[in-house]
Amino acid sequence: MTGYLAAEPASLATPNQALRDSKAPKTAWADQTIPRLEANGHVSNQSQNSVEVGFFMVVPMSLFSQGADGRSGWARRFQNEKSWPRGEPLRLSQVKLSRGSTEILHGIDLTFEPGKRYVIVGASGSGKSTLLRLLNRLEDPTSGEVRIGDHPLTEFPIWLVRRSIGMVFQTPRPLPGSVRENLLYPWMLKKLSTPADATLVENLEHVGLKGITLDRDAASLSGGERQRLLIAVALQARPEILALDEPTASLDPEMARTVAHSLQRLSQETGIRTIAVCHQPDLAPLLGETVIVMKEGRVVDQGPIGLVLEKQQTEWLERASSERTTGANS
Amino acid sequence: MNAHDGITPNWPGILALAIPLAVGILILARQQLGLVRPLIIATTRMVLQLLALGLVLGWVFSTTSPWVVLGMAAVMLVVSASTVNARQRSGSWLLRVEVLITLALVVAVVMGLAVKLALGVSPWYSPQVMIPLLGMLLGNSVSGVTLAAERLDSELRQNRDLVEQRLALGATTRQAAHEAIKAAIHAALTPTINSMMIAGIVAIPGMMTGQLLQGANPTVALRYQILIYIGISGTVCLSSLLLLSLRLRHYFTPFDQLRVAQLDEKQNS
Repeated sequence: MTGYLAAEPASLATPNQALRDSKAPKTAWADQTIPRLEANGHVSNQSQNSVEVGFFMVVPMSLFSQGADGRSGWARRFQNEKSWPRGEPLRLSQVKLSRGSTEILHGIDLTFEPGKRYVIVGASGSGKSTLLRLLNRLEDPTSGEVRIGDHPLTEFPIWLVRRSIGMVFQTPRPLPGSVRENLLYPWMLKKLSTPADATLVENLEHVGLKGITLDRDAASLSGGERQRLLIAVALQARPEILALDEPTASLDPEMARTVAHSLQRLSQETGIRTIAVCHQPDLAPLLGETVIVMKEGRVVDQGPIGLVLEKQQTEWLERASSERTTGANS
Repeated sequence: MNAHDGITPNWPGILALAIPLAVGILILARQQLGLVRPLIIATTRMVLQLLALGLVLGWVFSTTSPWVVLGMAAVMLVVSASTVNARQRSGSWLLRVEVLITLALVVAVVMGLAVKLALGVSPWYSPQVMIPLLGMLLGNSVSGVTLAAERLDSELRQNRDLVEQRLALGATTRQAAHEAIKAAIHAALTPTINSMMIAGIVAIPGMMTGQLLQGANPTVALRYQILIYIGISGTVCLSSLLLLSLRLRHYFTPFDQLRVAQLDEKQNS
């Protein structure tokens, strides 16, 4: 970890650097009185100053305590960690990834601008999901770099990266337990005081889940409900960017449409930046306005979704018809 | 009573005792239920190994050198660690080395306490005490430790998606793998807990049985048995915890990332 001069003093009165610097629109979601977590492990919302962040945090001498991130005050002070720069572009430069002897991504250059929603399309095995895993460091590239603004992701504590760039996986499998337990998990991880039930219900409504009781076993929800619950869970960590791996793949067409619409509304209402992987051409336009086309571990095209998809479709039709002709000739 | 009152089993009798086993094997073979070969091999191996052990112990017990005893202990450790491989699906030499290290560390502490404080044997390396105690400890601990490693592997494999979900929400390795570690520790300790639960009620444990047959005073025999149970549970508990910490490094990077490539690789093999 390289040193930073911009480190906040380790006190509970830390001003909310992250929100102050935010270039994202102030929204209903952002205005909710949910404390944000700073890199130094403190809760920074003024109204939440009395919150007990872990047992010892009420003591100002947090130096001797275990912070919310599970490390001692010494470690945190020593590392001089920095808070997350919001509203910065997320850049991949010359990113390559190999697993064993196979190279899966062959030098990807991409920029995810703030304020835009992206959808990544491509055949299965083209490296879409793998690319997504690099965005919040579930994996690191073999070579190349992922940066937020001017800072490589590796400069931030890993939990801050993961909580700032959320991830929703393809298979909607909630954690064992009730809907409430799922929603509270990100809070428990950091030993934060948990939000009230009313807030949780509101958060569920945000993703289009109405009339779900918090005590319900999460495993009993339908596929679409589970998918939306997992989106709501990911949002509990207050991410700035949300990466979604085929959020509609395991759903029937109608449910897929509902989930895609919820995501669209969510991003309009909260300004959250989504990057979604999708292999259903009809749903892709609902998931983002800018499309990135991947093929065999490379980005082959990108741009406004209407244009690019039209081009892709024409190519696909041409290829299909040429295959048909060659098939008929042989 | 003293040890000379003990009853020695005679060989023809033991051979007669093999009749039920032989009948069982015949039925297994006729009904094609399998396990015929393993049963025969295991029985033969057991007899040969114990005969060999008898010879070796006869020699070791007569020595006065601590090095011989320590050497014997080392051999026992290595052999018990190497049996791990046979059971572990994804076993590797590294796992065996780790089992060896964890068991060696914990067993050294437990044996030290047992020999110096509980028994106060002099000299400390007295082979008559060291070797049987070590045998009991290792024999019972290695299975628990193996179960822990096995369970961790299968849990992480089965719940890989959940583990990654937790990581993606900002969990540390330990937080993300908590359920898997818990299941592994439960798997390791449950047999020991169960056997302690029924000790003396349903079953008279092996060591105590041996001593009673040898004509030992029951109050002495029970002290040995308590000593060995506490030793075993402590060894299983600590060495499993230690081993799991070491194992986690194979599944996760220092940056709280699941090593997916490794899981995939193991799955294919």
